Amino acid sequence: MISSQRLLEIVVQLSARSRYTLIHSPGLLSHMSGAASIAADVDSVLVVARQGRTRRESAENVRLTLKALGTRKIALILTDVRTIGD
Amino acid sequence: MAETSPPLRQFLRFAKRQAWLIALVPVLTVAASAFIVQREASVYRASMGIGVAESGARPPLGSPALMQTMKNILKSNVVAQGVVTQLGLPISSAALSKKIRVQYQPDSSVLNVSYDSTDKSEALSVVGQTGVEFQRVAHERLGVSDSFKRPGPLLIVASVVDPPHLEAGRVSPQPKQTLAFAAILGLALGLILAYARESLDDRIRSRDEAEKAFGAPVVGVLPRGFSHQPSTNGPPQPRQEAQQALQTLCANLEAASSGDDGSTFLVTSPRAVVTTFSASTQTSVGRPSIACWESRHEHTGFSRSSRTESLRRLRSRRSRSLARPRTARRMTPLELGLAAACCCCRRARPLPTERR
Repeated sequence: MISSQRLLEIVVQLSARSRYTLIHSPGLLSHMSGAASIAADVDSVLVVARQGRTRRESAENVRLTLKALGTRKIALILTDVRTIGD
Repeated sequence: MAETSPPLRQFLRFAKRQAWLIALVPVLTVAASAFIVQREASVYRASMGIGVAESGARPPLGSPALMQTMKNILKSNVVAQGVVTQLGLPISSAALSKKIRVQYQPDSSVLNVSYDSTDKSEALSVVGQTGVEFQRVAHERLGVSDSFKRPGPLLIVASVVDPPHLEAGRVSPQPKQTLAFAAILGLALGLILAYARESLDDRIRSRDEAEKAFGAPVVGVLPRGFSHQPSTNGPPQPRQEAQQALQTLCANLEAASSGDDGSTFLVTSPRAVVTTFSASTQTSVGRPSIACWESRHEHTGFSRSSRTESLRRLRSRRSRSLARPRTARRMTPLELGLAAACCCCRRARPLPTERR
């Protein structure tokens, strides 16, 4: 597992070289996830939710976790949508 | 945040989601009713009319009290016992009395006597014998005559004016009415079950629900089965149906980055590992993968600074990166959106880790 400090260093290095840096992380609520350690250091957190699968309880936990971490921007990407506009 | 949908649209979405349950319950109800109706024996009804009047009365019609008295006699145990004895029916007099129906209209002097049975001849016999027993009892106990020409001492006349006969068709079952009622009942039951199922289910069903639950705006909506065509030359191209969704996501991500260089996005989900992200890095639990686009040629040396220093650099990277000359082409919004979309969809193919 990459330590949070090491990960941060890599992010710093890449962000200095690139216009956009996307960090793909496992689930925020997973026990082994490192997402929480860097969530406060990135510009935006894109939370991916699957329509018809993601539960409100999980969403509430994510919201509270990101709020506690001091995340600056949170945005959602909704996937598995049957009809656009739903 | 998205505006709340109108109630009708919400209901239609609910009906669409639970369509199978709403349709299944009426189908099962109708099927069960059809099975029961098919197995149920046909019931026929025999009836007759008994006119009751007070001879010499003005008007010469049966009063309500007299009609009720005659009805009670018809439903009495002595009449039923006579019918059972005479016809040799295998039921008790009390049971027969309950099965004999006696009705009359408020302004009428005619008692309608009816009896239902699966045997047409039995129904006819019971009604006919009931009339005979009624007239016998009324005559013996009350002196009621069956002829207006020879009224009894009480001047009461009770005569069969409508002889016993079978009513047309069968009384039950009525397949059309039964199946229609079963369909309506099944539909109502299906809606109730669907509503209960929907209420107990806490999964996020719509964009509105997602925004409320996460407390954040939706910047992208990707359709089910979103993927892009593999391409050996140049960036992968999204499929036709996903183009619009992707463009919206791109525009929103551009806005989220505020047009600044060096924007960092953490793509995550509540629990699951969402997808593979890059060709060289397979995402695993606890091991985030990183990709960047629009890289510059000059290499930035690896920093071994402390976390505090890293943070400081991360915070100030925009001003430094803007000052540097750009040597690679800018990443198009479509590529940014596609990269983010690849993070979201399991079926998405991996993207190059770095484009130079």
